[in-house]
Amino acid sequence: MAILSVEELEKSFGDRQVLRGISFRAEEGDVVSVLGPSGTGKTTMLRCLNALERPDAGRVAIGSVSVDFRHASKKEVRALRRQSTMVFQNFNLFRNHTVLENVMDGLVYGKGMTRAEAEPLAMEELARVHMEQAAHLYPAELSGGMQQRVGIARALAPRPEVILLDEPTSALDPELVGEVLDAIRKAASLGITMIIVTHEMRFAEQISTKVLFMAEGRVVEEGPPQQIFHHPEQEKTRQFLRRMLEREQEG
Amino acid sequence: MTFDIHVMASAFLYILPAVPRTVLLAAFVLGAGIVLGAGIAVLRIGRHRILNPVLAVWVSFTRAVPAIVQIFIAYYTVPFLLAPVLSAAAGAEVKPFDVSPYWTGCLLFILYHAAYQSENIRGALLSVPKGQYEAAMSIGMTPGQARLHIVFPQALSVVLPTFFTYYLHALKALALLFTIRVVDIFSAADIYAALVSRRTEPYAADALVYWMLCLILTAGYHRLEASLTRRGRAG
Ligand SMILES: Nc1ncnc2c1ncn2[C@@H]1O[C@H](COP(=O)(O)OP(=O)(O)OP(=O)(O)O)[C@@H](O)[C@H]1O
Ligand SMILES: [Mg+2]
Repeated sequence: MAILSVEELEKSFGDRQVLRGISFRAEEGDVVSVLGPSGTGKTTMLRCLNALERPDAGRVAIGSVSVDFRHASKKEVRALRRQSTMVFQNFNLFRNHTVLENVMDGLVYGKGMTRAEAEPLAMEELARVHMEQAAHLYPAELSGGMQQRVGIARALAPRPEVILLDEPTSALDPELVGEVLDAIRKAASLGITMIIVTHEMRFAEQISTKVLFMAEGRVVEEGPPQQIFHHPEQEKTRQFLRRMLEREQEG
Repeated sequence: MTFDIHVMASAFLYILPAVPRTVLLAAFVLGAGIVLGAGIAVLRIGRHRILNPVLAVWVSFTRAVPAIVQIFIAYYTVPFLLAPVLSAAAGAEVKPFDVSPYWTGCLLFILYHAAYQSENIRGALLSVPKGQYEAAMSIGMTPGQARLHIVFPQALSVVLPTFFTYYLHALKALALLFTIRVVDIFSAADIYAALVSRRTEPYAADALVYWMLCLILTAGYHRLEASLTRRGRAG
């Protein structure tokens, strides 16, 4: 049984169709990297999985919750949203809460724990990303890399079925990318299923169990990283990888 | 005519009892205006098809027309509207001209401040990045929890300084109520001037009272602000 399955997801903004029937599956423990040119709909697809963006049509099933977006009630959508958490490109840590509170919030409000129950669990997650020293600081007092590590701890704490990550390192200065990638590796080693939109090709190749290449609102090609990175079948995939590798060598 | 410092001193003492009354009245009308204004701001952000335009017109009217004009309009209409309500509440007939101008003034200023504060609060709510709300939803908060614990506190730290500025305005605007016989700091000075038949000293004493009050309130506000900043709310 797949832990995540997406069928024929469609989404338009006005008369511009951004997602043109996306389908894929992830098994428990999979790390799925989503690659593709800018403006292809990767962010939109990820935001449809937790209904921050409401798809026009299609089905998303995570864990035990399955939602057909053509006729989904608010209650179903909320149940689906509770199956996942998200790591944002620009962190979006709660600015009025301390680091510790940020990690506790999902346990207290999402899972209904008491603060006394939530605090040790939150501290454990902070330790995992080496941020326990900063527990009582506010996000504004942290570097981008530190904020994103807290973002990962916050997403990890409620132990969702799936964690969705949208370009978690692309807002960071290059020297801060490594510490965040390490935190993601640690999260992956817990066996939690992850969907990562990323432009970090080498990282994607190392960490993924599965790679999805998207272009123009469709999944063009999918497969294990070996296949996608070394023996891509589609011309579009080849072109994209060539361009990305050139850029990585320049940078 | 010479300036008599003794007249000023006794005017000062005559005015002082009006200070607590005025300070509290300003806090009350602004506080009620803020609560009402917050409701209006939330409704307007919700873009209700009928309520939003109606509220927009009313807010624009209230902010455009000088307070003194609104006071005159209110003084000649509100008692006629309030009289039946008060009659029903008291169980005996209350005539429009028995309705205290105090209540007319209160009601008017509450609505007046609500109009200004709704815009103020709307701006503050919209200044909280959408990502804050989305992050709250993404970790399982309900929309109500996301607003209560994440969006509103952040908006509050944005508007708190402007609330204080408006409070000083609210305090001074109450002086306009002398036109409808409500005794605030300014009306007290006016009455005293009539009693002693001198003008300069009572009004000078009045200005001094306003000034000192403003300094004291500002100092108090800065202390409050400093303690909130320490708790990271204003960051
Ligand atoms: N809320 C929105 N309203 C209107 N158009 C939108 C909205 N969000 C995204 N789009 C459009 O949808 C298209 C896909 O955007 P999306 O952000 O999903 O692409 P992406 O693959 O994540 O790109 P990138 O690699 O640059 O992040 C773009 O043309 C974008 O302008
Ligand atoms: Mg994107």
